[in-house]
Amino acid sequence: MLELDHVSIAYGETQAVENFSLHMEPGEIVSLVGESGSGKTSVIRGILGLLPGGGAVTQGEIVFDGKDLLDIPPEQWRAIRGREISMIFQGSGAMMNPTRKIGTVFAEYLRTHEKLTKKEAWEKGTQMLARMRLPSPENIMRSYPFQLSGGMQQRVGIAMAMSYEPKLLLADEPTSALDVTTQAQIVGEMARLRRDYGTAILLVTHNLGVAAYLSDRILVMRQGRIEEAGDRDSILKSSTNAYTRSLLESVPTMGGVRYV
Amino acid sequence: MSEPEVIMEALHVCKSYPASDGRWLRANEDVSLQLVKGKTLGLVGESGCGKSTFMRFLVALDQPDSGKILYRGQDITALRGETLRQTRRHIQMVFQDPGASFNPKMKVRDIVCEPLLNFGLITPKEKAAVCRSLLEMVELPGDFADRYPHSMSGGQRQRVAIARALALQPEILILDEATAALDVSVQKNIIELIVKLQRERGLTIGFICHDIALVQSVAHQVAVMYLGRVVEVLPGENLRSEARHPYTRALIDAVLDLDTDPRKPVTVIDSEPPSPLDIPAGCPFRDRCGQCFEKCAREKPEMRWLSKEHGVACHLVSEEG
Repeated sequence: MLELDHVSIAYGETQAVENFSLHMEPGEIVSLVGESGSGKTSVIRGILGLLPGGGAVTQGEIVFDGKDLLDIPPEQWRAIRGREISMIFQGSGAMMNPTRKIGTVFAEYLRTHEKLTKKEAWEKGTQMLARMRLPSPENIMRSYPFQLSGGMQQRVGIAMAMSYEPKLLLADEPTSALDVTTQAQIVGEMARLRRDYGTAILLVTHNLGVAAYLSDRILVMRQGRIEEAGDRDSILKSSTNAYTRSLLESVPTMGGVRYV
Repeated sequence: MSEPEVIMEALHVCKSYPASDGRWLRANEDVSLQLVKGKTLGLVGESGCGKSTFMRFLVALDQPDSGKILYRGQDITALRGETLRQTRRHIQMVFQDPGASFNPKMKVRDIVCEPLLNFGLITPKEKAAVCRSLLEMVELPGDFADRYPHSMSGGQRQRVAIARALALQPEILILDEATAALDVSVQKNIIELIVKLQRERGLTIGFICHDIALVQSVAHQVAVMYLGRVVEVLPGENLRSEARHPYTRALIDAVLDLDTDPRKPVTVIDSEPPSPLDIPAGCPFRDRCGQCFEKCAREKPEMRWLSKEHGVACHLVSEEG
């Protein structure tokens, strides 16, 4: 379904990602893990053609469902973004206009993708929130982003991203800003998306616990390159790569190392 | 084993902030905790539970409405002026974001030496040598003295923040989410540094963190806060096996470890904490608690001590005895 073939991404002179290859099947959950600056976010932004600040794919191919994503005219992107591939960000609150209600933004989003009246779009948005099991969807539609908690904002972001049941969901650190309890909730929600809708998820995270719970496969990135890739168990349980091992050992766990 | 020496003690600390519509936000309610010499007290809870508010009282950055903060028997909430300034030497703090807590125009040398100059402990001529030894203490190369905050990584900045906090050789160090912004591998290094410094200097540490797994790995004693109240206090060592409060258990269950079974659905407690503007009567946790019964709606549970080190504020535990 998604194929990245020897992709390199650069911001001007600075090489962010080198020689990155990934193959994803429908319904698969793959995690990119690594430290800050390892190039994981560049990879998923590159897929959606949303590299910021002069970033560009300098080499390789990105193919999604037979379409070469590097060679798509801007007007066709609209049919793909949101409908076939959508994205959730670290803070969904930050991507929403603070001066406008959730419902207004949601309705506008739906109306760019299909012909709906404002009222129909509002209703569809409300239904979508209800389908994602958000409590009192009407209230949420009438709220401003700052009136919702971080976890709730993130669930609204997921509901928006899932409006057209995309085949692929790109998730950029979706739980990093949240408390453990809320994080667990969002993680549960993402697992359900795959189960109920067969959505494939490409997850960027520095939280190895989240990656370990959700993923079928894990790619460990370091300084723009894939350090190690493999299925979940081989990375978590039998990796021989020193860098992967050191990352895994740094994760604080409930029954783990005590320093005092 | 000698009797633990309590060097700082909070007694029945309360704090409310006025909200725009005339209501009051109860940030801290009857918080009583102790810091024991040379040990770490971990403070854990969700965002908005009042843990940072409380730690700000310990460094006298803010004042509680009622209650006392005793440092070596002296109530620091009553101190003013020069006596307060002198007390600050003994209690220092490291913040979450060292990028925001440094003056971007100051070099590392000036940042770490400023507290010493403030208290007249060194002369400007001694700065170079003092700075070098402070950087050495936090395992940074000496030439970092000429750097500005923006030319260092997050982990390096946090080391500088620790050097600044320890420059005055305080007895107590408060760390407010000091590792939350760092990568796990860097976090591990910083934690190892803090633990090493604690051993060498007998530091007493207040460690605020929302990651309960990290807290249990560094804290001798852990206090769990919920909506401004301490709901459970217990030794970090026994956190997983002995935690009794349903909220502590929920926090532990929400941690995704590397060995969490991916086929098992994540156990989540219901939704989110109620607004601190609108804390339910009775037990504050009852809305989200699976084991709540009639008494929970009626009465606020008091802290009940199961042993000298383990206290729980929950009716379930009191009923069982």
